[in-house]
Amino acid sequence: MQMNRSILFGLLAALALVVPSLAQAPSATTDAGPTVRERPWSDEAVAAFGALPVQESGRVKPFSTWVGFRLFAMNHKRSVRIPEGSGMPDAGEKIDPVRWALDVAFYPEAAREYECFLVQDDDLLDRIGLAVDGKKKRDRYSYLELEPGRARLSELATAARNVDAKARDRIDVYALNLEAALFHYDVIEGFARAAVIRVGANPPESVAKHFTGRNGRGEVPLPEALDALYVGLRELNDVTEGDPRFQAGIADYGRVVESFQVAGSDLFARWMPAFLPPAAESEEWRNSAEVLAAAVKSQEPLPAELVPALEALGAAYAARGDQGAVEQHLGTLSEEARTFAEAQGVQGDLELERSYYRADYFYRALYLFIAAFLFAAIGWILPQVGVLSKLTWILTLGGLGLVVTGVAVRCILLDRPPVATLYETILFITAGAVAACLFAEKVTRYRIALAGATVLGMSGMFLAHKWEVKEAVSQGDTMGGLVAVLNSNFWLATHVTTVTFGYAAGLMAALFGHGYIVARLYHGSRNAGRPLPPGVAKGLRSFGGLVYGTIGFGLVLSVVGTILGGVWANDSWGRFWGWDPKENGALMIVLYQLVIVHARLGGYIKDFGISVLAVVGGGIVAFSWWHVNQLGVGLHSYGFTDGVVRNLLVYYLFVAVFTAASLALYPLLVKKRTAVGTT
Amino acid sequence: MNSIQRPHRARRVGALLAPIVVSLGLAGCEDGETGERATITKTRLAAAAYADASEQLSLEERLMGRRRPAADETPQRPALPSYTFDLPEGWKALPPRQFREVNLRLVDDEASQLTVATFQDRAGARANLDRWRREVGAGELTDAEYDALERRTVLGAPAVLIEARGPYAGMGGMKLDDAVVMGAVGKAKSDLDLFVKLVVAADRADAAREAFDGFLASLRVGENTPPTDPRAPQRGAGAPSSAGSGGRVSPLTWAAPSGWSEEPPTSQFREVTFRRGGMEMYLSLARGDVAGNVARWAGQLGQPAPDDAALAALERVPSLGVDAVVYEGVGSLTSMRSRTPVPGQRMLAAIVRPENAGGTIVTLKLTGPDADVAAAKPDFMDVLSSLEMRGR
Amino acid sequence: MAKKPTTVLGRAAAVLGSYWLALAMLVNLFLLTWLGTLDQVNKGIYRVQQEYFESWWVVTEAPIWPDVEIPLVLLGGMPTMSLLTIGLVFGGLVRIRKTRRTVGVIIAHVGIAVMMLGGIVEFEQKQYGNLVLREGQRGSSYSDYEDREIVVWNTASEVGVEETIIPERDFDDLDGERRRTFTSDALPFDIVLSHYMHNAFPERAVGVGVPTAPVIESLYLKKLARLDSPEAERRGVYVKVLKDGGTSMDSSFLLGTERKPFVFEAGGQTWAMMLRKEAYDLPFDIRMVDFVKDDHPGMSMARSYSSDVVRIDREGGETPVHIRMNEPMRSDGYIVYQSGYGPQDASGQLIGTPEETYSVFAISNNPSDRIPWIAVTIIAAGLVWTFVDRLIVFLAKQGRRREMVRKAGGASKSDMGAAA
Repeated sequence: MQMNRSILFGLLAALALVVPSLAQAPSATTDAGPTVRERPWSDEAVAAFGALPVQESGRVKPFSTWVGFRLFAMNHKRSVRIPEGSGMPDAGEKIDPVRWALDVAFYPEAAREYECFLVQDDDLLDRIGLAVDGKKKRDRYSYLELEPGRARLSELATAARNVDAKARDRIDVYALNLEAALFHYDVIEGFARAAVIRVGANPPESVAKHFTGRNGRGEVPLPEALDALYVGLRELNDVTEGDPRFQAGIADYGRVVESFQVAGSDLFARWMPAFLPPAAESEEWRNSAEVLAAAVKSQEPLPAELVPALEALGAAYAARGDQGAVEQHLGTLSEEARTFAEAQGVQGDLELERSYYRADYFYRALYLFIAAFLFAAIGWILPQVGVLSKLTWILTLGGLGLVVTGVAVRCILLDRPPVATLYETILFITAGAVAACLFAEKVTRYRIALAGATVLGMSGMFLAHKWEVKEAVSQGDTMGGLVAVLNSNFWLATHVTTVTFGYAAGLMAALFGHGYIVARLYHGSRNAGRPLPPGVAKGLRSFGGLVYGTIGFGLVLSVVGTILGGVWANDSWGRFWGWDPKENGALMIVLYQLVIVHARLGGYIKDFGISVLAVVGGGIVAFSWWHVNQLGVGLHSYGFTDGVVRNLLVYYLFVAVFTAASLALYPLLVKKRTAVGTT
Repeated sequence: MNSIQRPHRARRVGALLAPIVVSLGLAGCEDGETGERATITKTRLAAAAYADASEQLSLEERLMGRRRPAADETPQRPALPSYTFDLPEGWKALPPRQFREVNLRLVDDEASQLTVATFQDRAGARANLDRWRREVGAGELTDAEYDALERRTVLGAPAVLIEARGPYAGMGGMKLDDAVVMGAVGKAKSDLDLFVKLVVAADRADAAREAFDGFLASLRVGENTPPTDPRAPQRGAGAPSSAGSGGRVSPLTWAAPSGWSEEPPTSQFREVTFRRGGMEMYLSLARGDVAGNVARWAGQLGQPAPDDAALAALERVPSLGVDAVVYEGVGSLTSMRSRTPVPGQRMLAAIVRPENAGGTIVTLKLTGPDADVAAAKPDFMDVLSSLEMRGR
Repeated sequence: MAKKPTTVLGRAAAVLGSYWLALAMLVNLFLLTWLGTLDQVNKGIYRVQQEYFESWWVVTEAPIWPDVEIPLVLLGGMPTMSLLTIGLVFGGLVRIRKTRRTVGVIIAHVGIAVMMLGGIVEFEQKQYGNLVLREGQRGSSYSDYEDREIVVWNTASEVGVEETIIPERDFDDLDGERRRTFTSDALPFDIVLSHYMHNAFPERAVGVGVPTAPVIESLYLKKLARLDSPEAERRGVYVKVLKDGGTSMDSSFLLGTERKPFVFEAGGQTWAMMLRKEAYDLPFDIRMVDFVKDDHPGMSMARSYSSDVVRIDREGGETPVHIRMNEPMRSDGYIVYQSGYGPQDASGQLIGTPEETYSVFAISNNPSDRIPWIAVTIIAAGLVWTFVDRLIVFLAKQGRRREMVRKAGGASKSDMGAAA
């Protein structure tokens, strides 16, 4: 009966693996059962489940990182508040991504009311026909609130996809992001459910004799279910097509096949993280849907090595309602997966990575820098209180320490210098600029460089946070793999660090330039018509020296870094200079700093002129660092992004206005009345 | 491959394969036919001939490569017969589907069917006749009854006929309180059984019987389908036909490019699909005008629609006796298959409006990674220039 | 600065070495770089390179705000960089005051001069192209990325074929009817070339109005717009073969993408002619052994890719070499880089059978290959020297000032504090 067999398997394969489209998200369970937890998830269970190794973007990472980024992209922070009145024992509290994922997967009805979707602009909701009252323009929504708009959202997102990325408007981008966020939610919700096959509480006799449901709902863990399906289908093979039992059998198995169809659906195959380590037959990490697809295609059982993990996940889902049992099965799952991954030598540095995200170095550094900035500001108002300066120092050093530690941990995790992506350059430049400012402060002791350090630290960490959201949305991680040409620790350590430090110096010079201009204009107006007091004049001269010195420092780094880039290119593909945008950006900084230095040496400008040019130089660094990546050409494509151009234009405008104001005020406040006495 | 490099002047010739430099400069002899004279000064010793020069080819053959015969080296695949028949009066044809290679019903009655199915039935003819009888509540045939059944020649082979009456409840959900089932089981080919079945309400049985007889008499295996049509869908051994598209014959013929896999039509809009690597090339019949199609293609690449001047400047290449318009573009490709635009893609697409085709247009579209598609342009041009109307 | 010059030459040197010229050229080059970068969005990297950096003049527009542009005429990259280098020599090496403080600056200037010199040598001398090899294949030459040539050979020879070559630069000026006759003692015929086209396509001369070029076998070459990448263009040229003392003639055209050569009889022998990318010989052979692509786990993106090859010298000596990204093979003045691979799909995934896999090498013959290394070392030394020297002076000054301030009672500190 070879023929019927192939019909049956063809039917199964077609139904289970081809038919479902992405739009058909598996619906939530409607089964009765406890809809709220009896107690908070135990720390052990959270730790175990969070440490489940998954592979994504070329790296093995803990499940907590994966789900953390999903939540981060959805909610723009790595926590969710459980709504009051949800009936959960910890209602009103904030929970971390792993706890949230557990609620979503095992208590879906309650979790669908958690407001974990940040909608940037409620115009989007109007467009998808959701009129929600009592919310702010930018606010958080629950799955339940958004679900009715999904069909319209999908249309909107499809239309947005057909628009060139550059031509998309805000709403287009928000629609695409929200659509992806909802898909990810579906996957997290169905992650465990996809490890069981549901035959129903009262399956037909032909099904029941092979499938033994684990619970009253008739759910069978995937590995068992697949074996049972093969037995059942083989039995059907012996029936001829003309036999009425054949039709009956096909009908009986309809529901089972439908359940397989969900478990192996495109949605899961595509979006679920690969949490099953490579089994003997495959070199790839896979998720349950992919493993199922491969098994059905070859008509084989699931790979034996993966059965314990899948059994455990399926058993956890089947046991839902019994929180203790769920926790126990999840512990087994994590244990099985980790043991097997370790045996294969592919486990990754999960503990260090978990500690990295728990420590949240950069967000904490942001708080320290903000506090330091406040003390620095008060210190300028109350200069006689010496302790303020000390506090500023301590907080800034603390912030710097956190940033450096975070960067160092990233180095260890990635086994490379941490300057290969745009996000990493933010961290690196901030650390470098803050450290250089502190050094300058040590030398000058005007508390200008110190204040500069707090401002740079604060803005750097703020930018890092914003950018992490962006990379979370666009890439799902900030530790993705690098293209082959960048995979050179020697060059990353030399060329990229030097050039990046050059950027940092340029930004510092710009910051000091602002400070000098403000100070110079202030003293000019205060001492109208009189020479500046000697102390002030000397101070300003030193300040001017600081601006110029920073430019000189930047010049050394930019020149060497830029040429090293050419040397790298020459060694990589045989051409020293190709006028590629990123190369040009670096060259622009070099040329610009050379202009300042030669104009100064030629006597065309003095401290004020240098400072004005340094301020403009900040715009040029911004252009090189960010803007060239927006052009969409060239080899250095470590960050094509949307929406950044607008922020850059705002910054350019600020630079232009500040520069124009400086130049306009200089003759009024300074030139005709006083002379600093510099040469 | 890196395509960014500095232009340069190459002045040095390889050291070992010594160049023979004949040093004669430009002479100033000017002449209308031959222009100024120059002496060739560069030679090179190559290990082997640069290209195969064994034949004197026509210009077109040189440019496009030799035209290969259609369907060369295509492995023979088993195929189901497709059928021709006289459509009985009062009946209309529905699209074929699984187990119904021919699918007819009465124009004025949905609860009727006349179908032809072809598959290998190991259970035997009698089991099938019994199944039909059961559908109208009749019991299994006794040996005597079976022997008494009418025999006829259908498709040149003996067939057994049956007729039964009763309340009908069939697989397709069709229900009739009082129905007549007529059936014939025969042979379509040596290893394939033929099942012809008619169901109508009993009060129309007489007219239906006439139609059934006429249908059986007129039934032929389709002559216009080559038995080894290379584009017939691949089927598992002995499995029945999966859909009706297998019997469809494209009105076009083409020369398959070598090195590409060839796929049968996946939809009624695709005559053939070729694939190589990440590239896909397909031929389709459609309606529409040049400007609209080009604008759509440009849109798929995220490019603005070309204006009239740009349209007029598009390449024109001979195909199907007229000029095909060839659009070529690079950009981020949005397609049915990719959810998000894939950057760095190139598209080559041609529109042909053959004469006397009633406004139908032929399009050939090649998409894939920029460099690959650029390199595969000759293949594209080959297919385009090889197009011919079947039977003309 | 140095003493005032008196002679004409001295004055010229003073002008060339002046700060204002250096500044003007730096600003000019800065603007070229900035606008050239922006213009790449529209024109592509190659055209920008030609129009901005290898030109005498650039007429362009500077965007000062989205959709607001001001027209601008700039000196092109060639004269700018030349004047900058000349100025650097006069101002930064010849006329500069030589003191302890300027030592570092002079060293840095020397380094930049060396780098620019290396650039000129590279521009003049470098041969750059690629070689594609499948596993087991052996290559002894490589093809230029851009430059083409016409190659003519006698089809009778199977091995050791002598190729007669007309480089593209000898006929790329033959626009339209303009023609040139090429002769060689080695050939029993003359070659007349005309209608050279940078980018061409063969079109059927039916129903298209008046063909814009001679029709041959009902086809003619149609001139198309140039492309951003010269590598992708299809060169075309018309050719006439004059034989038997000009009494008989074969006509055809050559196209860069043609599959087969133009074959004709002359002098009782059969000849073939083809238009191809300019070929350069290697002083050794490369045999491809194995291509290895190492992916990021679970992704099709390559973490690295490399080729095991055997370098075979003219005496037949074999040396196994591993060539990978960032680690080229240097041999006999030639550098062989791992440049690419294929066939691949859009995501970089290798497709096709292992037999179909090929490795792409970029090969360059560049006498100034090591110059950037030398230059960057010199420049870094000079700049670091200067910076550290200035820093020490600055720190010493700061130390003295703080000493004074402490004695004066820290007045200036509070003054500065009030500045904000």
